[in-house]
Amino acid sequence: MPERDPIRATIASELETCTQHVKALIDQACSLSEREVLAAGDRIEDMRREAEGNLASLQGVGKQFESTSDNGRATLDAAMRRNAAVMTGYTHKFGASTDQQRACTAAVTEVARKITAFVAGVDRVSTELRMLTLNARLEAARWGNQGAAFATVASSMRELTGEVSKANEQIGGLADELSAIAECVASNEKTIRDLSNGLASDVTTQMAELASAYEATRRVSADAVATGVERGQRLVSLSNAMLTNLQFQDRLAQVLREAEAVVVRSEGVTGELLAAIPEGGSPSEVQAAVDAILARAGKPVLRISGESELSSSDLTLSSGAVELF
Amino acid sequence: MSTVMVVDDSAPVRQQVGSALRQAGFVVVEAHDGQDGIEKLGQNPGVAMVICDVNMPRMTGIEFLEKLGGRLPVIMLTTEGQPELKKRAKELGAKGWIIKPFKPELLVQAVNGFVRS
Repeated sequence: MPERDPIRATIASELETCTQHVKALIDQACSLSEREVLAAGDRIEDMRREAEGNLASLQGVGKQFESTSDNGRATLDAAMRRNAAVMTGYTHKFGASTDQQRACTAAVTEVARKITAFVAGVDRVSTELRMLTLNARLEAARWGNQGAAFATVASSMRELTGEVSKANEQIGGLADELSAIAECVASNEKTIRDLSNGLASDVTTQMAELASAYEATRRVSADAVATGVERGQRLVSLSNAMLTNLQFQDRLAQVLREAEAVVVRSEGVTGELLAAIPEGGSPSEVQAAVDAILARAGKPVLRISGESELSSSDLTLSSGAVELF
Repeated sequence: MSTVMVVDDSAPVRQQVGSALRQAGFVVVEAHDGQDGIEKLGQNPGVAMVICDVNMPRMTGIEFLEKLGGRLPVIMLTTEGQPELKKRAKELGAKGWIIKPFKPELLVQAVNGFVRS
């Protein structure tokens, strides 16, 4: 149908322009969206694969660490038990040695005591001999020359008694020394026992501290591995979420294509509009025809304003035209 | 060659308008909103006219017209068609109104008219 009517021609022209622009915009949006979706999808897929690989590697490291730390802990526990057993053994042996030493010290002390008692006994005998010697000299003096031999015997007895006393004194001194040595040995034995107990206690404490430090290190490392695994899992989840997001974008591109199809269908509707608008009709008749058609189609109503003559600039749907003030 | 400024917060629109104008032999300066436009005018004193959107962040097209004070011819390029807006723009010195999407040849024709005059 020849478009002699300026209004119909203008509507046709404006709607054609609008349709072409919308199609062009949709094409641009789809191309851009598809390109970006493809490129981003490739990048995210690469990232996801890398993240999964890193996660698997980290989980492997975590398992190795767990196994190694369990073995290390077992080794440390066994070493601590052996050390405790050895210390206990040494403590028992030392205890036995000190017991023996105490027994020996006690025996030495007893011998010293006996010697002292013996020396006391010899002193008594010596004293009595001196008394006897004195009496013998007195009798020898009373008997005069007949007692001279007796006096000689008494004198020899007196000398022997003196030597016995000296020897007894020496023995007593040795007994005293023996007692002092026994006391010194007992004192040293106590010191050594205290040192041994202290050593055992220190070693036990240090082993416990070592075990505690090892356990703390193991916990820190295990936490680090667990954190790494968790972050790796989150990275994989994030990659999956981003891929899902790209699918939404892809869906957006599909929606745009569907919108394009709607635009194509609307071209058919505009054809119906053009056919229905009365040729050469007044603005009000044209408006009424357009309103009726679009009301039936359920679309927003176009408003064609103006008075006697219409120009393209009066059409509010006149996209693209320049309205100069 | 004359210089035209395009003020629009949409990069594709700036690209389309700029492309049409450059093909017609104009030098194009782009600004992404009214505030940017005012600043770029200070840096480019040779701008002969402005193509400006209405709805923009920081400074709208109407506020841009107020700031410009009629120093340069401005054609508004917008999706808006309210008569009150057009009236306000006209009062502030705008010389024309284009509803998007635009026809490149009509835009170039209008710009040529203002630049040569």
